[in-house]
Amino acid sequence: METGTALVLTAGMAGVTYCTRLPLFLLAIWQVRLPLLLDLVLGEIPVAAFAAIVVPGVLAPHGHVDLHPSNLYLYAGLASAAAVVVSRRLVVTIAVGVGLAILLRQLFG
Amino acid sequence: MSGEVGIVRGARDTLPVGFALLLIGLAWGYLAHAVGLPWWIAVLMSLVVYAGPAQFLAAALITIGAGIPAIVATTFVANLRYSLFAATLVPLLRDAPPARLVPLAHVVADGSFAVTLRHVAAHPDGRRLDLYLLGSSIVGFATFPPATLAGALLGSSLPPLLAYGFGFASPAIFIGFLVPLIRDRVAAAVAVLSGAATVLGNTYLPAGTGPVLAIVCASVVGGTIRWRREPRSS
Repeated sequence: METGTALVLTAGMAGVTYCTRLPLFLLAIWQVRLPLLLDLVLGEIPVAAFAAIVVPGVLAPHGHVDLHPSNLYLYAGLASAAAVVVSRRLVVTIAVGVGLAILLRQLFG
Repeated sequence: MSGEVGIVRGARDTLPVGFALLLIGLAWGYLAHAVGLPWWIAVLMSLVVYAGPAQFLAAALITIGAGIPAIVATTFVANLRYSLFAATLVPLLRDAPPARLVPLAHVVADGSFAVTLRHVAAHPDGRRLDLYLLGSSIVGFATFPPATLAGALLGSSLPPLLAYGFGFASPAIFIGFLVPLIRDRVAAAVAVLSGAATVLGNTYLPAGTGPVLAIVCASVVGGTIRWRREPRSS
């Protein structure tokens, strides 16, 4: 990609991304209080958002659902989940998941 | 929580995420090199867009020959979840100086959001969350862009085996955030619904729209179930 094109692309991506971040943030300045239902819906956003990263990341690492035993991320995902339950530490979770993915790829890749 | 304590605490709590961001940054730099983006554009994107998933999506779109308007529009839709994150953080930022929120909005990202909410769950009456978020973002910017540089410069000399493993850094860290949040059946249902809808959306909907729609639908379902269970005087 040419430099000028890449710069325009970067500027465009940066601009629209900031536009997704700022507007609702400003509600805090105006001290807006939300109705209970909306509060409860927002309370579910973390679980929904993290699941939206994790599930396709593990089950469909190449864009399409891959439940075949040759999808090594399945094992890495299970191991990461076990690691967080046992250790409660994020570093351990990443090290176990990434380490196992590399190890299995090396052994069976 | 005094100012400095808040910043230091936010930074310290974000170190594990920083570890993941190093690996994700390396993977992104590697990918950017592979799709023909100049190394400094890859780094600039990590600084001014600062949205890993959207950057990976952009690289995928570049390889299939999508034009700039399509990629920018996709970025906007994919990053609409940051609006949801910002809305979630609003009740926690009431005591923040308004002028600080304008630049601080730029650091709202998946990792900083997850770390901040985890902190709030453990310290419900904590103050000045803007400082905590600022500290968290220092680690984010100290890891993701420099790792991007390393990945882009290493390029094809980064062993594919490692690139494959680093590709799991993002699922791994968010497994670490997700699993402890599954405390009851409603949370489990929200996770399953959101995950399944995202996979379906990624298959059948335009790029970037799947996760946002899935997050909104699953949260509305979960929030409504909890709302109906709330004891109300009527």
